[in-house]
Amino acid sequence: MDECDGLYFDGQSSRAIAVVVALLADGQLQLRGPDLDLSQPLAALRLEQPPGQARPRLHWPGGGLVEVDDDGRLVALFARRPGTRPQGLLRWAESHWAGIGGALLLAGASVAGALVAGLPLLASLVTATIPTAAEQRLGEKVLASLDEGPFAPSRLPATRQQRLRDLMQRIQPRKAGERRLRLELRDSPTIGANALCLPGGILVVTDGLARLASEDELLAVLAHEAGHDRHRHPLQMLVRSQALALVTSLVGGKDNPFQGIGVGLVGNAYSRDFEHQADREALAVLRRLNLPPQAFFSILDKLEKQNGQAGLPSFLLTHPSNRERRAEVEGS
Amino acid sequence: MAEPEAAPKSEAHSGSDPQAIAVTFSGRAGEFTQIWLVNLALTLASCGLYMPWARVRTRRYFVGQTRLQSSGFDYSANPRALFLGWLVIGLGFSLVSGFSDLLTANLAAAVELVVKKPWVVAAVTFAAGLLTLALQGTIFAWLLLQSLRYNANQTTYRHLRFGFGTVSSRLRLWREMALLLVLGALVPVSLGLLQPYVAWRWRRFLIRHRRFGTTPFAFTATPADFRRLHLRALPLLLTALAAPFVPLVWLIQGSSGTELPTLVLIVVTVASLLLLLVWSCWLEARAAILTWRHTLLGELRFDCAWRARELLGLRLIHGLALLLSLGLLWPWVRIREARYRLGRIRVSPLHALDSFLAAEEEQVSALAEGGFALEDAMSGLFDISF
Repeated sequence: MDECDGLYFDGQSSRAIAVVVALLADGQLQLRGPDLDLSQPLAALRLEQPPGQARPRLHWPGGGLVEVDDDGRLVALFARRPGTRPQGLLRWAESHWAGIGGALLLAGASVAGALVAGLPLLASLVTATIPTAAEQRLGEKVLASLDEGPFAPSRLPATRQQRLRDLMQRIQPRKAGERRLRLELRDSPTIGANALCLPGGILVVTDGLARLASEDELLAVLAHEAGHDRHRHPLQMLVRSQALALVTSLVGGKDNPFQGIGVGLVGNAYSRDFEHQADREALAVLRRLNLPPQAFFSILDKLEKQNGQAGLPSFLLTHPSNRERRAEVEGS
Repeated sequence: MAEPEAAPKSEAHSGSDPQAIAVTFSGRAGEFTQIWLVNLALTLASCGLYMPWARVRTRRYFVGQTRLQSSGFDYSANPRALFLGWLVIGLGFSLVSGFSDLLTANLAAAVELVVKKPWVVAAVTFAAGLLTLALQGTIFAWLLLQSLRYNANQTTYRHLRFGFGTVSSRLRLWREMALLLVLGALVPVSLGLLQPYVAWRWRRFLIRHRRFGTTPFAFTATPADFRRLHLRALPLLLTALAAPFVPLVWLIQGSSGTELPTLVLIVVTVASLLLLLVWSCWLEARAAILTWRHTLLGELRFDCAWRARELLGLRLIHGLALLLSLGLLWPWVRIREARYRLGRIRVSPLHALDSFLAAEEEQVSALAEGGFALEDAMSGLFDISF
């Protein structure tokens, strides 16, 4: 005969009544104690197991509760009944390293899947719904804030500026429905020789770059930035990083230092992907204009020499190293 | 038998009651690490959606491992209701903050169109800022209160529910809470002079509205008790704050032109920080002892044996462990903290544990349970045992 000790509470007062819980021959469960003799069929009872090694709690019809000193037999009796499965699975996972390993693997796989496929897909769906007018306004805002910050008006001679605009015309997209790009020239000692693609098809070329690069090289750079715009990279990046920051701060807390680092590293990886994509676009344009692809690589080398980032591990950088970029476009 | 509880309690009773029994906490670091890892994995895998389930399971583990005289506490919140509550609160909060952002961004321009005087514009913007702050404070107070009510209501001991306030006292509680938040905001303005009073008021608020079944808790400490406590700790605080000025004086009096050795600066800074830590541990331990000894529940008396020295040791060891393990030892730290904090609380007399009665069932919505992170932070003393 199966028996174990327990404490019975009637739910009306805090009085604890020591009882013996016994399984009767007719399948009923019996509580025996001083002034107490209750029995119920198993089906009318509910057994609850708190997490960890706490005593199981047997809910008695009518609001009573028994805390049972169970050696596992009572739990086994109830485990065969339906409705206890999910909790059971959780308990199993928590008490076996295989379960924990499995859960962590599942977590790793889903995080990796979300970062590689889920988030980019989500971001492109979101960016598709953003009207171009709104994107345009955003670009203007970014440009205005840059103008208040590191940018100053270009100091190139007017003829040189006109020449650059002419070059831009050769890069403009041909197909109907694709938006035209706008070239902005700025001087910026802090940024140095560089070109930027802002939301809404605004390309910025700094005086430093205009002085450093030959005409072929400038065409290559403009084609690269036009590639960013064609795939709406600035907007994609914005949506991806915002979504990432939102989710990670939900999971890890906003003031968690690892959150910022994580978002930064993943953002860098996305950015390097975008660079490769824009590089491929640039080379396609150079081929179309019958220009040597060498123009693209030579300006990359010039820029790398000037910025001096060579030697840093790639996961810290928003742009891949020139060796990687060359290998990537030649591979495709 | 002498009846110490029959006399009115103006004095705190002394700690060595032979009839007292200790609260026990039997959580184990290994076990909780496993629960924590599974929670973490499922939260990550579900992009954070599993969070309410994880939080309830964690809390349930801690509450369930807490026992008093061979029977355990239990926490039975419904994660699905919490999840819906979080959604509603998240939406509500983003609506409110979006609206107030919009208001503050455009208000100045709108007013300028009508009135050209700059001081009018400034005054209106200031008033609007104050208004949104008051609105956010109101919501914050409501969330905190609702969270206190819900968590107390979901906690049981011997199959009897705890509670916080009653339906009819809701408005009064909310007013008291709002006043406490305002007072709390005034503490820095008063250069800390208000601190003892606010600490006393918070504790009184958290204790005397709490009940076990139908029986309310009572709190007999006075503001003067807390004032004395903070006053006794003051020399330590002043020393800690003054320590960084020592090398400055030394520099002025010493031969001019010599540079201060970096080593001296480091030593002084570390010493000052350590003194601050000692101060906060001493104050925490003594305030806890004072609070528990002045807390009554019907016939029940409480006692607490925290010691500043031991708290300091825990803080240092735990801080170091978290730092060196990059946070991976967090479950171990939480278990050790709970074991120390709960295990040094004693309850007497034994027979009174049988005498409590259940209150009417009361439905408390889980809507605002999202505030419980706040509650954990503010009522660290009570969030597990009560």
